[in-house]
Amino acid sequence: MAKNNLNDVLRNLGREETPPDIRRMAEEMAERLRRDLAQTKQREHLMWREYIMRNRIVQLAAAVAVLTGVGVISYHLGVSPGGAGLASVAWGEILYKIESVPVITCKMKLTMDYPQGRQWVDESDIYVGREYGSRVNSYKDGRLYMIKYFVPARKVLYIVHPQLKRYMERTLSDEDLAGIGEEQDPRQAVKQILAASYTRLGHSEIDGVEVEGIEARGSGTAETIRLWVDVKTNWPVRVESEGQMMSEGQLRPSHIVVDHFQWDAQIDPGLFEPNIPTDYTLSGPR
Amino acid sequence: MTHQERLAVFDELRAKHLRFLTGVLWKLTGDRELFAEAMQDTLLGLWRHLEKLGREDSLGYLYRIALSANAKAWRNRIGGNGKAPPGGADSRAEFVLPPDRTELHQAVRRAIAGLPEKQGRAVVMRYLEQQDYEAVATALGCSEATARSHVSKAVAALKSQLVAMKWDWDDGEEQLE
Repeated sequence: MAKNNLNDVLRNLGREETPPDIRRMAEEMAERLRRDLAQTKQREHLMWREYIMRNRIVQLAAAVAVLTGVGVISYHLGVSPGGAGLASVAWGEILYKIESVPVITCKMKLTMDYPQGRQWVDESDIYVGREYGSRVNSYKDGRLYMIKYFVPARKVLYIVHPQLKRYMERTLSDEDLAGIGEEQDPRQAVKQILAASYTRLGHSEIDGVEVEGIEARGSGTAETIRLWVDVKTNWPVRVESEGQMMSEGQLRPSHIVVDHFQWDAQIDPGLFEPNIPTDYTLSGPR
Repeated sequence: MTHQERLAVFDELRAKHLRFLTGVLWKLTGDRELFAEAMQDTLLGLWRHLEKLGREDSLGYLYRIALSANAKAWRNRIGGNGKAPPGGADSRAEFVLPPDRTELHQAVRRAIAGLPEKQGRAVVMRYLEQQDYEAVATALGCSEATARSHVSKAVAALKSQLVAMKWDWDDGEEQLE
């Protein structure tokens, strides 16, 4: 590798001009903060929501955390009353059912809206195994751009970028293990919706399956989350979240759908093994 | 100070320093997400420390708030152990950014964020902001000789960190001035 010159690099950094859109972003942030400050005398919580959402993409758990954080947490374990001859979901059984399965697969789609009609759409295939950890394949415009392997047995997280032929590796603390394990597991979202104060949405149909739904809303926030459950099998069929996520310094309208669940899926355990090709290079920490 | 008075001071500080803070934080982050996070924390810092910043000799404190916010943003991105982030956004950023354009500069920026507080301020003021040693010493509240020592130690620490990241440096470039 050619040797680099620190002097040049530092001077180049010093000469770097601030792009106009970055200046605008800073002005907008300052203006927003000024507006908030004028409306409240509390110093600390002004941007709390931005901190919760900060840089966390594809995290349904974050949206749900907002809901459960502001509402009264009480599990609704009663069996819902049957209505007008329709089969109903036994809400109290769902937690037990989903906790008992060793392997789950599902799909997640995140859509984030930007000005001028721009959208970020990120689709992921999620695999979670009690014994193995998790794997998330993420696609942008139909192309696989990232694979995330969480391997609790080895306390490690790999993020692989196939298009760049690069990967990153992070050794995890025990605290990280618990946090990331929950983050990747779609059951957390289901559990937290059931723990929030929710309202019944009645019956509907998703992909030919009769479902019953519940909805929870954050008081004073834009977040709404819905859970749809198959009335015959009592398995969750879809989780939807509408709210806002932090991106490029602003909260953007976001919509997340998690569906195509396979509860107790039969999949090859080798899928969880991060077989990183030998010609991929380990990225230095950024 | 009443809330209204604090708001008035905030307005003054914003008018006086926002452009400067924007420039410094952009040089230190070079990335929209990192910048947004660092700027957000810096603005909150301005509000929290209005009383100290209202004084004439507040430049050093201003640097301190900005560099602290910058270091925090980098820590949040790379994780406490200095390795890759657990979240998806950072990985997305890596996917979007051309790696060859940013990698070296980002490595240096990250290394600056990891410097001890006074060394960080010294190297940023001296090299990124091209201030003379007198200004650096005033901002740090020390003599010019001590300011030079902070800069020198900072440069050595940067090289050491960058070598640890597998970057190769020209050994003949000890004197940067």
